[in-house]
Amino acid sequence: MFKYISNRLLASVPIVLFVAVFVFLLSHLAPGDPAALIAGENATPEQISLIRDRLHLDEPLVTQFGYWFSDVLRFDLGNSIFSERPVTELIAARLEPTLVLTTLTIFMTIFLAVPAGVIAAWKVNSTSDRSIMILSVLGFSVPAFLIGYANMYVFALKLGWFPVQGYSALSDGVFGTLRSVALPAFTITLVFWALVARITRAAMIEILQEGYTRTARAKGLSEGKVLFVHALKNAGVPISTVIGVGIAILISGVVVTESVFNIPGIGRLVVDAITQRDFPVVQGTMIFFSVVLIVVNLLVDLSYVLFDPRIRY
Amino acid sequence: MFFYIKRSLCAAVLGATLVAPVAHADTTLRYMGLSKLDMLDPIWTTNYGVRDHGYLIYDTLFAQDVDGNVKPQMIDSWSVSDDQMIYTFSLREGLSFHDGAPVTSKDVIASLGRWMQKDTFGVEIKNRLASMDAVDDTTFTLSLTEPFGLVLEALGKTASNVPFIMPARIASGSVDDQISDPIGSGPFMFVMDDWQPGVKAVYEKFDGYVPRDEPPSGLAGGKVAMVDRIERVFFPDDITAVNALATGEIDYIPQFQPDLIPILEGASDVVVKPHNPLGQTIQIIPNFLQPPTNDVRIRQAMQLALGQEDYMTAILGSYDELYSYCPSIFMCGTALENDANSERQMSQDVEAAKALLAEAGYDGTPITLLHATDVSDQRTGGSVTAQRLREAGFVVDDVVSDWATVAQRRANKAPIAEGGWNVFQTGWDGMALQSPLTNVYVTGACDDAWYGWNCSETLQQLKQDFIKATSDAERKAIGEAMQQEAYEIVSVIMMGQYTQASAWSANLDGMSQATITTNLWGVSKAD
Amino acid sequence: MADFRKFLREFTDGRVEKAAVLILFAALLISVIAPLIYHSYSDINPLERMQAPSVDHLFGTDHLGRDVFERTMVGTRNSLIIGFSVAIVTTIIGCVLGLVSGFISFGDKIIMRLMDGFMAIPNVLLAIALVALMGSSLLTIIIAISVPEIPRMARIVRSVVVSLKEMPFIDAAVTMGTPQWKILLRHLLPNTVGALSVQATATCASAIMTEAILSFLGAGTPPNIPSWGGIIAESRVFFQIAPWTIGFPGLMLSLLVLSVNVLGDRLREVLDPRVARRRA
Repeated sequence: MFKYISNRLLASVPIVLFVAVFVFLLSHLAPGDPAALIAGENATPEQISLIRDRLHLDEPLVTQFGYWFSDVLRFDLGNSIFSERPVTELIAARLEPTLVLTTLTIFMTIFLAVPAGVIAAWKVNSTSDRSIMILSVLGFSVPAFLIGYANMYVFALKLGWFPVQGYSALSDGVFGTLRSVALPAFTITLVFWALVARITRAAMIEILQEGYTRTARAKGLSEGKVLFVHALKNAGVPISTVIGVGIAILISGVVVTESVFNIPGIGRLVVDAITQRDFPVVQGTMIFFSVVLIVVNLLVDLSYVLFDPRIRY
Repeated sequence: MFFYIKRSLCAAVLGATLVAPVAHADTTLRYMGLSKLDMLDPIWTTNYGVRDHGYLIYDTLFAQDVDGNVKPQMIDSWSVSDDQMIYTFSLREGLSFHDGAPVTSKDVIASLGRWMQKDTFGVEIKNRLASMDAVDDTTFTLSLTEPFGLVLEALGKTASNVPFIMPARIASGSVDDQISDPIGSGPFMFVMDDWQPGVKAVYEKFDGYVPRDEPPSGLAGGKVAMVDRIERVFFPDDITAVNALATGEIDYIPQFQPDLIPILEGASDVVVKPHNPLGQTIQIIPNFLQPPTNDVRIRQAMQLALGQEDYMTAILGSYDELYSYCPSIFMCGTALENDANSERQMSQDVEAAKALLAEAGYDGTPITLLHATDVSDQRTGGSVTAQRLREAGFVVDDVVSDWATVAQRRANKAPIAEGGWNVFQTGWDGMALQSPLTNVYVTGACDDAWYGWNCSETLQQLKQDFIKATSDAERKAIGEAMQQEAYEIVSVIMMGQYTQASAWSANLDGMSQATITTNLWGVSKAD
Repeated sequence: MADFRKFLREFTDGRVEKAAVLILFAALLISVIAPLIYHSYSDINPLERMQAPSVDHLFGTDHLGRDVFERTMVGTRNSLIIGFSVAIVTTIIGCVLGLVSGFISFGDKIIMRLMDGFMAIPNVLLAIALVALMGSSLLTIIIAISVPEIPRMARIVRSVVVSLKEMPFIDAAVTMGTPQWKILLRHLLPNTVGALSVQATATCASAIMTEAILSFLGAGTPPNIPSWGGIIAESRVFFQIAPWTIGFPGLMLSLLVLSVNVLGDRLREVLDPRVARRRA
């Protein structure tokens, strides 16, 4: 097990390296001059060129990469060229809202999608199966930002149950935090649950046909117990896989809802950094995301052991 | 732990109306920042969002009142020698920085010195500067090598970069390094620990501030902090901010799209008013260096093809009280407002444009239009420009990109094939355009001019005349002559003067004089 | 041919599937015809802005006075082009990469590491960065959405190939000295068609959605190339004031994406023998 984990981590080093080089090139080769944005719309060319010098922007790319990468090797992702704050500090400050938002989304999704998938599989090809499946695709077919605005309109403006926008930090009380991320999390859930519901359904259909569920039924176990204990346990593997794969979808949902609901999370940090060419922040956050994705996938693989005793690493 | 989250989650999902107490004191004023605040140095950048931040935490020697007159602010008294070469200033009593240190002549001299290296108006003083000397702790002199009639205008300027006064230990650093310690002597203090770059900036009332006795007027007069805490929050989406104001989550939106006004009309406790009366303009800038816009007749044809009405209605819709068609290159409502040579500028005449194009022998060389689509005004304005130019017979290459790319490309003097351009849109505001020393369209400085590189010896001469001018009547006449020439060579096409809608919660008092976004002194908030 | 007819009959046996096929055809028809009829879809007319739907403007007008109906109709083509192009591009490139890496072991190491690298960057963020790099046009949007999708496609193909490699008939072909490219084309490629077509439909639907998200984030199609996502994103702030500006294009987008997804599901059922057996 330990060997497996260390091997996996070792194998991901070249991946992170690749991401580092690729993102560096991507951001530096893109047209657009951060110095012009720092200096402001009404700045003079002289003011801009002073800033360019200061940021070493006119030096060869290789040299610039050298500066940056030697820092990265020391776990220093550099400083934002706008606020001059360390990128690690910026990420840390934005981490909490995004983490809370994604965690809540995953919980909501599981509570909504897994039962729906199980019911659909249990009554496969029935009307309820069809309607659950079509309903789940519906969330997939409306742009997330529109779902967000609709939720804001109904639940925040008309009903007044939740705040329109903003994030209340955990240190100011857990309840306030949950209230502030409830609508954005619900919005992403509406998009995300389709995926989980369908995989759950597919996995359950397979499992319900297998020998041991039939045995369990024959032994006189109630239908509910068969479904939720025996069958669902075996469906854990495909479901956690889809959560691993779905993290990417989740992140795109997070980027959008953070804008709609004005949540100061990492998604907005990256998008802002790209639009204003804040190179160190773009590079740092992309590396951060790649590490997160790698770790999540590793955790997902490890969770197979939990769900399926036959799997050993 | 797991169970706990589940329970709270269910509560949240069901939309429990057990409203958690909102943790803020009553005198916290939350408002929407017009831009992200991710830099702190108002001398390092011309970004208006940073300037607005500067006005909260710094003080200035002079300031403009609501009518545009320069009034002393930190200065108690001042005098000029008879030969107009030596200015003597003395500071008001009791001024101190947020760290407790008193404001001294040394601080002022260091701050002005740093500002002069960077600011275009400041450079004019620097070029004529003999020395700045501290006479004592609160008195200092500024000696010139030749008379310069606009010293006070420069010290009281409101367009970026504003000569804010900082402690000498901070201001004596290199102008090429951004300051990292935002300590000023203004009515509010910056709370560094609560700053989230790009998201939120927090200010607290500075108890040690000694305001002037006069009532506040524009940026002049007594700047009394009447709320304990100000939170400036950036909203990526206007509609989120408007809805947040409707539900009372924020107190003030300095500017938003007037199309969204109907959302607030239902809310009884919200006041909607036009913003800053001087407002903004939209400007179309032709490139003097590259064909076909290097031909003055082509530029004049563009002047004829474009009309202010298109831009104003496209951006502001039916809210016509928010905009006006203004013929003046110095904007309307300013001292130098005039309508010299504005016939072409103010008329939209497709046929005349076509005729002029034919006369110029326009051969269909495409006009390369830089069109930023991630900035709302430019996205809209670019579409208008492209369409109207095409209708007048131009071939338009509508180059769409994000603003970061436009900001870089507009600096390129090279031919189109090497990344150059013909036309782009920008928006200097009235604060900058009102004076020939900050209005980049009347410099005529050719290679040294702002983007577009407008070029005219007449304009260069007029600028020198303006600096030497001694009376208002003389300045006004020079202003007219400048506009005459600038509109003749078409250094800019002015596309109308407008102001956005502004809205605040009805329990705010003293908002009427808030002409500049962060002019939040003198504003109080009732329970 | 008979097989194909049987396939079609089976494919469209439900009412929902029939409706989905109908919607898809209608959209295709619109996308061919609309650009021939409507030419003034980008014409701004500030005097007629934000008008509610009427006989003159069936879907009303937007904040620039442009006709939402014309824009939506012409946008159909651009949205379909994006959806289909992304599906085709990712399928072809993903297929080649997947076949090569599944069959040729030294290629496997390099290609799969590269794919891992791309997969480690979140789709939407990679796409925005690519648009920033290449500027915004229909072509660059298609590339920007495709690049992040390719690794997934390649992995699916590779996994099919790897599982087939051990099969006796491939072994036999190898011992008989059949050239590698022939094995790839004759034996392996046809077996990936099922998995590929299912993934391609999903990609087509998600590409149309991704374009909407890119537009929302300011990295979508330029204003003179209307797409459904672009129209919705551009008018989104008016959803409380002028709902028609997003309602109609939003409805069309949802209907189409829904249809494509429903057909994708059906495809999976028909092509996956295990599911088909169960249904029988």
